[in-house]
Amino acid sequence: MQPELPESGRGRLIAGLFALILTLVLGGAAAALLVNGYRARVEESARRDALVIGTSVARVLAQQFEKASRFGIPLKLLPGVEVHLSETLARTPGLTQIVLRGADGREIRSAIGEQPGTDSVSAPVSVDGNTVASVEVTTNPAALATSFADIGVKAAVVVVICAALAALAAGLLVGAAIERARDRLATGMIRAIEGDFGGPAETGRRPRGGMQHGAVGGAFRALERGNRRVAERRSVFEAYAEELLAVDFDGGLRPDVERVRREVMAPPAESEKGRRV
Amino acid sequence: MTFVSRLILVVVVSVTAAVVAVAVIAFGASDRVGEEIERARVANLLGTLKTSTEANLSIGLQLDQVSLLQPRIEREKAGDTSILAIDVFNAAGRAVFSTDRSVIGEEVSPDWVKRLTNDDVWTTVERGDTVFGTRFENDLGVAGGISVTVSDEARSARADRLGLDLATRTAALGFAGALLAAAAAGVFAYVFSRPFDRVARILRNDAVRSGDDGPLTQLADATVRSWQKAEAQVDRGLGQLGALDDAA
Repeated sequence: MQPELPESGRGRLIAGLFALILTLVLGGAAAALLVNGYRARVEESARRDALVIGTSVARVLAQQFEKASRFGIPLKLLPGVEVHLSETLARTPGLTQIVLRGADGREIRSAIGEQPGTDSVSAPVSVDGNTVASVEVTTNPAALATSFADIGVKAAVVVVICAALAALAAGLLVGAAIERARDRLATGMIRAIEGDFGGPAETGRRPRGGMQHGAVGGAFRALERGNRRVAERRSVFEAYAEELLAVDFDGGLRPDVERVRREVMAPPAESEKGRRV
Repeated sequence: MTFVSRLILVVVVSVTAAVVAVAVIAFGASDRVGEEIERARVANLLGTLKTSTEANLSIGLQLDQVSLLQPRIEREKAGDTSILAIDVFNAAGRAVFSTDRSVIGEEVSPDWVKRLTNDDVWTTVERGDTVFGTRFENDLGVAGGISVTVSDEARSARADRLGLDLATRTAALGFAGALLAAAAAGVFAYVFSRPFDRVARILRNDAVRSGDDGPLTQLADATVRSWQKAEAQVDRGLGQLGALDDAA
């Protein structure tokens, strides 16, 4: 009984799954490292920019409060300060809070955003050389880097697409080629089992291109060598039989020679069966 | 190309492509961060100019009577080298104040006038430079707009700096990923092609059966037996022919 051939499509499936998992794992890890490292770098850069913006805003607000202070209006009594601070906070991305503090450091007015701040800068409100208050601006670079918020999802989608394409390519280019080679090798061996030692041209044809190398090519070469060895032995027998028939002038040897020839050339399995019978 | 090379090529290309594609997305995000930083920087200037202009209009002045705007915008431009121009224009699209005094009275870009319908800070690109703008209002509605044209040099320099950093990271991670992928593909190919290797060894009589009962291995065993039987038949036949020869 001949062994069953491996089921079709298994090689494609295995090669495809391997490429899919490998790309997901390695591509995903590399993408995560890249995105996290680069986001930290961008946020570090944005942090400096946010501080520059915060300093500029603090200075402008301090100048405005200086004007009011010069008119002798106490900052505590100045109307609309909170609204002004809130408007400034709302229209300037990267700022999380603006606090107007008195000379003693106590909060006079403030506008607080939703996000927590990471850095703060302050500008003094000076009148005639005396610091009467200060404007403290707190910044958060994450507010400037909102475009990085959904980058993880985008990166994951890209990695999954690349993994799916890799699985397809591996299945078609690698798995299918292996299956074809396996089928050819199995066909060649089945023919050899059936007594057809005709060599690679007739039996298991060697795969083309690079499949001639490596383990796949090695198996085909071994099959070819074994077939050739048996074929050569049979040729020696044939030559001897022909030699005997050539000198058999009365034809007396022919029936015996033909019988021996039939026994030798019979497929090994059949001859075994015949002998057992 | 051997199937090992094919497999290595496929996984190396896919891992590298994934890393490069993610890098492109990351660069796009950092470019938007650069735009956001520019917007944040200019937004405060636009806001203070808008507040100041609207305060003057609210006390009954006409836009061209707010003469303090001209020195104010010139001072702002002088204080920030990245600002190329500041223009204040009326609702009809005519420049009333500008850091470039030669354009006062001239018509501004029609695109700027169109954008006055929107209350938010708008952005557009003109001749390679970024223009940020906003509108200001009086009691009757939209009274005009303010535009600040900033040089893209700082943003380009920032993008170049971050781009170089990203390229270095991408190259390092892509290389490491490709190397690991190639090694994993090599190991997988070795395991995947082991049935062929076992068949070759059986057919070469290099090894006895390794206990593997896979279909190819069984076929290889059967093939070897077939060869051995065929050779035995030849040996037997040669002996019989020899006997016939001797008898003749």
